[in-house]
Amino acid sequence: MSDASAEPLSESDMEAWAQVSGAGMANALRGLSKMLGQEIATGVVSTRRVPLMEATELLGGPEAATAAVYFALSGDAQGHMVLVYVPEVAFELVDMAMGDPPGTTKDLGEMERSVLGEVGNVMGGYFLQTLGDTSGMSLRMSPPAVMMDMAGAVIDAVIADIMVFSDEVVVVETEFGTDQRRVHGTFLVMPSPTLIRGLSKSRRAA
Amino acid sequence: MTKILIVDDAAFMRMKTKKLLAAMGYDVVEASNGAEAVDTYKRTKPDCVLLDITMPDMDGLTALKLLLALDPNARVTMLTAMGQQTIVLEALQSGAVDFIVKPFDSARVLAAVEKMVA
Repeated sequence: MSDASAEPLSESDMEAWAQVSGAGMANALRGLSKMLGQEIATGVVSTRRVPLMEATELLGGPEAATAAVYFALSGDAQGHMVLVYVPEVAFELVDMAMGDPPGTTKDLGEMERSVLGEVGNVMGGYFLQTLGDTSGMSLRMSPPAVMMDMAGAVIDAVIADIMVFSDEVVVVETEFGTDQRRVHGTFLVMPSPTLIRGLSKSRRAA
Repeated sequence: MTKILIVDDAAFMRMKTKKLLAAMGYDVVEASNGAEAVDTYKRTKPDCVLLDITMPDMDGLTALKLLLALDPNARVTMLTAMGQQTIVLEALQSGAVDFIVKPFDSARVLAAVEKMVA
């Protein structure tokens, strides 16, 4: 991430981020519901600052087995997005997207990874649509990187990038799912200070 | 037979789109990134293109510009989850005929294809 800044984020910056990212999460879940053809509910959307040393706890601890989809944000501001599932839930999500009975998917081959990547594309794209249209910034995301690994390995590269300018990370996280089929996941967004300030500025100007 | 080039890095999306179009009698060719799309376009000369934006190696907006430089009459619809106003505008100003936000509705894709090949 290249938009480091020594200026600390203000409370109004954080308030703006909480409001816009909450709307972005709702839009992301709308995209997922449309993709799966059923209503996906979101839990409480939480925005907070987390010390970098504790970041792996966001994914259940460094040794937690995860299936994760990672995107780098670029364009007018930078950041990171990670969608995290326990492996069994990722398999269930693939079954739903493919229209297969529960229990069909037992591993992540090329096709299954592309399904998880596309789920991430839709959620990330809809989230960024809210942020971009609210702020006027042009925000892009990288192609998805789908990983099956321990949480520590998934998040280490992200932490290394953020460490360049901060010893804490601002995250927005929520859990989502449906009662009928088990598709609970966690959506983490780690924006750069420039992205948060851009949103805050656009809200003040509105 | 009308030939359509589908460009998407996600094998799942290529499979889903190909299934839809093949069932309607279209001949489908595929590419998994922008560079491959340009190469496949040269070789197979499709009647129209469905082009994703977020792809490795070469993204869809860059590929769109190269395709139109190669063939100013190329008919291209962007098919992407990136629905921001700035990106939609950039694609249309760059010469895309249409823009569909994923996850797509089958009827919307078929209408876009019919519009391109009309």
